[in-house]
Amino acid sequence: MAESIELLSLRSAQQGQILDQYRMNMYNTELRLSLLVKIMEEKGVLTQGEFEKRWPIFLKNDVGVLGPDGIMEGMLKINFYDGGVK
Amino acid sequence: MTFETGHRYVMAEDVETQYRSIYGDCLGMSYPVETVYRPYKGEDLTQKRLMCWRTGGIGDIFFLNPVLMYLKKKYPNCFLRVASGCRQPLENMPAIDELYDMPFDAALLNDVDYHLMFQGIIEGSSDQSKKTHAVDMFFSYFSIDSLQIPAEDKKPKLFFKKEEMEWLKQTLPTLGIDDSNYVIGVQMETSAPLRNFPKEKFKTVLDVVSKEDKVKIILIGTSEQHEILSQYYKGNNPNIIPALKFDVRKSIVLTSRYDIVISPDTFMIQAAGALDKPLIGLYGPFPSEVRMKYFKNSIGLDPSVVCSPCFKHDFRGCIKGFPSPCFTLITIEDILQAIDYLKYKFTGSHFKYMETWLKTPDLSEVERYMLGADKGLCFFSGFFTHSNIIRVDPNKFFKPDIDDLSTEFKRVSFPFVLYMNNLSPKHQHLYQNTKNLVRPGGYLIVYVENGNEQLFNEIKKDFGQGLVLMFSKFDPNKRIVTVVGRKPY
Repeated sequence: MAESIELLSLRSAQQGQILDQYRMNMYNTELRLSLLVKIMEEKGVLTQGEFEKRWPIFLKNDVGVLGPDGIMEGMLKINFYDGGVK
Repeated sequence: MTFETGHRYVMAEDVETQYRSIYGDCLGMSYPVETVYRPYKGEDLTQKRLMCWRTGGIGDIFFLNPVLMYLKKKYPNCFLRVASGCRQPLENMPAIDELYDMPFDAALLNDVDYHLMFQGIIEGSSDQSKKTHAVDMFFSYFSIDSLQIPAEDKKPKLFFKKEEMEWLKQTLPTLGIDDSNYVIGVQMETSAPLRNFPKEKFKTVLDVVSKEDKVKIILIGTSEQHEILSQYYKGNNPNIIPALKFDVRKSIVLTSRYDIVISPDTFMIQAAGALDKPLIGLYGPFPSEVRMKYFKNSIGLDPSVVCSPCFKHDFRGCIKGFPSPCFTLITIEDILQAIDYLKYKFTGSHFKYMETWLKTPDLSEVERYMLGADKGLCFFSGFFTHSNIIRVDPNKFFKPDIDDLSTEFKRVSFPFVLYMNNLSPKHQHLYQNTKNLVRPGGYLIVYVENGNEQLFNEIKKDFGQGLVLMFSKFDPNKRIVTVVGRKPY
């Protein structure tokens, strides 16, 4: 991943900043993951409550993956709008 | 943009960084705008002058449109000067006295009474921006309570010049479009990969719709996107027209010819909404409600998953994959049905591809079980209606009586339950639960299209547990399975 980021040509300083931010996020994610593994090794299985308390951002960003049918768990909401009346 | 020596210019920080990377120290020093900023906080604007500015993006500039119209209506004598990096949606607006591009000469700030800049209002991650429509956010930024303002006045409006309409008249024949065509405008790509709808799904939708009579599909994009957009359709399809040579303003003018618009979260949603065009918004990272609520004739498809809406404004892909996995919940069928729903609403006719959905099932042989004194439940009936059934279907396009499967039914038992056409593993538990809704002495009727003999035998075997088999039939030619069982007292 890091190599492919390096391969991207930087067209502007703004894009450079975005890439830096991306690298930092990648680092943070990896860090959080390694900490999570550490906690799980120490404490055994983490309860949902403990997990949410410790890692709310992690939970928000990283949980929710594609199911066996290739569709994410959830449902589709179809909203009809007609001039402010839903 | 050319800069003149000795002049000061107002620009966003990231734009300054870009210019600095080109011009280096020739650009001179930069100051925060706060040193000259006289913010507007809702003061009386009678005989006053106000200047407001925002860099972009194009869609966001549309949100400014209703606020400016409101101000000019309330204070007809006020002077409004606007600057933007994307001025196209504001062009020809009678409410605006002067319109400039950004970066603009800081001298323009001197002869006005108040200033207002709009950077970071909707990009912020405040709770308000997650629940409030973007136009209401802009109103509140002007210290205006938008609660009492009618929805119609919160919708952006577009103003076209005579020359622009003339251009449209001349351009349409060159695109192969005449008055008899049903024109569908499709915006494929957004500025952020996070909001991009999966290409493959779009491709299938276009493939199906382009085969319909008189349909012309216009792919909206810029000339740089030629390579990307060519991936959205197969070969040389005469009904799919890439409109990539037009600038933003011309793309907006073209919108007035579309009969329907399909788009992810881009400026095209706002342009079509401003013109009251039938509109389908494909949303994921943002809820459609905060962008489309005030539009007429529009449908927002919103996946509801654990992380959506995530309200991310990033110019990167989703952390969980690309395209964003929340879009897996918007199926090709959903989009096709949404297109047909809007077409039927305005023209009174359906597309040909709707045949399978519109087909009326032949229930004559089992109808006698449906004629109880009381109404029965019917799951997944599609467009099929019967005077004695309460229709239950999560698909709102069929206008079922109950569209939320998690709703508790008002009664615990029904004289009959008709279960139609959906026995996928996902719905197995629902099928099992329907049995409990049959009252003792009542009937469970299962009608499955595209079935096979194995399924037929499995259903019969399942009926053996707790039901008395009354009728069973498998039509191998039409592949229709019909089984009726009676629940004993």
